[in-house]
Amino acid sequence: MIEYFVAKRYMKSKRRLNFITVISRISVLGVSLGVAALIVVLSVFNGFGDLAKKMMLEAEPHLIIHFTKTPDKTEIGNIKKFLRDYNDVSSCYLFSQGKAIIGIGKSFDILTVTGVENDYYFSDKFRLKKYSETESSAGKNSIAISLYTAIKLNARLGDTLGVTSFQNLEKSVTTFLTPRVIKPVVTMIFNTNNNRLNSKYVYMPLSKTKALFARKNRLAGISVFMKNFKNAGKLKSALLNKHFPFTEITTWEDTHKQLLTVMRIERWSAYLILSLIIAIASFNILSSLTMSVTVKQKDIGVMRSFGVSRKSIKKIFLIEGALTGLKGALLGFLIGFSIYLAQLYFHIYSLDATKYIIDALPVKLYFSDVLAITFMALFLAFLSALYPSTIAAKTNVIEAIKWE
Amino acid sequence: MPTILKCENIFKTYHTEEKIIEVLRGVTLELEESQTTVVVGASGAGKSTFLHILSGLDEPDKGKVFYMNEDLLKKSDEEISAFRNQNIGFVFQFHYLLPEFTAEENVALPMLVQNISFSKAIERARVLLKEVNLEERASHKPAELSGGEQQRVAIARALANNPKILFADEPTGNLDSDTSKLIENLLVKLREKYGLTLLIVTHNDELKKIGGRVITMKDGKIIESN
Ligand SMILES: Nc1ncnc2c1ncn2[C@@H]1O[C@H](COP(=O)(O)OP(=O)(O)O)[C@@H](O)[C@H]1O
Ligand SMILES: [Mg+2]
Repeated sequence: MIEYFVAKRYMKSKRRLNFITVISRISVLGVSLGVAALIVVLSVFNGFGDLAKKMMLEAEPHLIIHFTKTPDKTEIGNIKKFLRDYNDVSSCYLFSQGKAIIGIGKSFDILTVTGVENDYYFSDKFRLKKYSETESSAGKNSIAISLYTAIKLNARLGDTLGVTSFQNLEKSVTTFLTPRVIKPVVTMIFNTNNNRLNSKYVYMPLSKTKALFARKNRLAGISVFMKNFKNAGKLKSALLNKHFPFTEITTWEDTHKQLLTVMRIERWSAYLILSLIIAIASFNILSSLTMSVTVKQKDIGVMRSFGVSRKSIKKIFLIEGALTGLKGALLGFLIGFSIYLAQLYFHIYSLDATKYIIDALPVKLYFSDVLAITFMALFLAFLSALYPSTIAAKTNVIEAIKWE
Repeated sequence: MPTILKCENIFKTYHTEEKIIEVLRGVTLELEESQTTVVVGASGAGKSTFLHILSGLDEPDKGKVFYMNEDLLKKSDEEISAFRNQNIGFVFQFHYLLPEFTAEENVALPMLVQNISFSKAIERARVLLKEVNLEERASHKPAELSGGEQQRVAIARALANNPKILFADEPTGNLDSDTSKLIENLLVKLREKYGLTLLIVTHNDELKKIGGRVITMKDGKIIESN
């Protein structure tokens, strides 16, 4: 293909230093700067995004099936069987939930009690980041509270707490009986990175919460954890397709919709704003190519005489522009990727681990981002080459080869 | 011999700010296959303009141009480009070699317009360079060649796709008399070897001597033809 052959040679022959060469190099550097900046910034965004998601999902279920009305045993059995057979589900448990007053001595707090299906509660799968834990004789009479709550209530491992639910209180107001209080023992103190969870939730074995919640509220739903949390949406549609009665399904993405939207908008803005660097650099492609077309009038004229069509002349300069963009993109990728790897493995930008929960700026690069960035660089370079290549195609052959 | 190229009643006028120049005023001509034609005339007579129109590089304001029986003026840019690529070779007063390419690459370029492989094109380019006695200069850039050598490379390039017609516009205009003689002889030799139809345009009466038909142009008209 003559177009590619000529374009490549024109690129290569820019070794000699002159004005056009300088501008052309500036454009390559500009494009690479933009590409490198995009790679670094997007990977930092991804890093933070992943960290935020990890923190969000540290103890939260990836998907919750809420019961709008407590289903009977066979219904629950059906749902659990479906979940067990679903490949991407790693674990699930039935849970109950309700507000309760929890106290010890003179201090108390209003917290949400979550009753976790006993098997799960006492297994290693229980996903709370444990701060401390005891082997106690309390058995099923156990409660897990956060470090935050422990400090607030001045409660320690092994202490017995008094717990009563709002439902029980309501009942006592109408029946003038003392509300039913249960007395679980603190066997676990947890500390997650999720402040909402730390400050508002306590956990107990499901069987124990029967005394707290009325029969019709005894089961709130099923919490589901997945092997890959990103597939929660797929599981949701699979469940919806099954039409299990009296269920409502929420994924972690539904719960954190606002935050996720903000994160997505931020990423897109960064992508577009940093693409401006590439756009400005591409302007230099436009000027260096335009000058190159002017200088190469005689070349163009003689090529036309031996049969290169206008279309092919146009192609030559489009390819030259695209190659310039590609060169910049490649260089930028090398720079950006090196910075990314350096941060990933050598923590060139580290954080004070005593103040932050991480010791270095988190970074993560997705292949799709690299593709999008490369595409942007090539697209803008191509766009900048459109004008000069059109000028080249319009060259007047007779003028170009006139001998004066 | 059959007619390969003919033009009928060609008119071409340039409008500049100060005046209107009637460059061609009704030119009619037929070229027979394998014939040599030398168009002579003073500078400004309209010879170059005539050559450009005959070869499909330029369009007349009025008149017709036929190659065999194809109307050249009806062709699209792509068609006329392909036509020039396959059937026509040009030698200009200046060599117009592409400075970034070696001699053999310059000769290969017209072949690459068609989808011939690069190695095949270079191979043929070397054969053609040998034809003009420049095989040992094949990998030199134009700037490293003398004026006569550059013009010989340009001739090799003009023959790249085995054209039917070779147009030469003042092919020796930039050369000293010895080198001119060499180029003239080369053109004659190649014309005979390939059976080329040759049209030479010049203000230099010396070139009349290379044989064939001589046509004299003056003020945009053919005033003498033998
Ligand atoms: N683009 C143009 N604009 C105006 N005048 C032109 C242009 N091209 C050629 N001419 C004029 O046309 C006349 C013939 O030019 P040309 O065909 O080059 O003559 P020749 O080759 O015989 O010397 C000249 O007077 C020249 O000045
Ligand atoms: Mg002339």
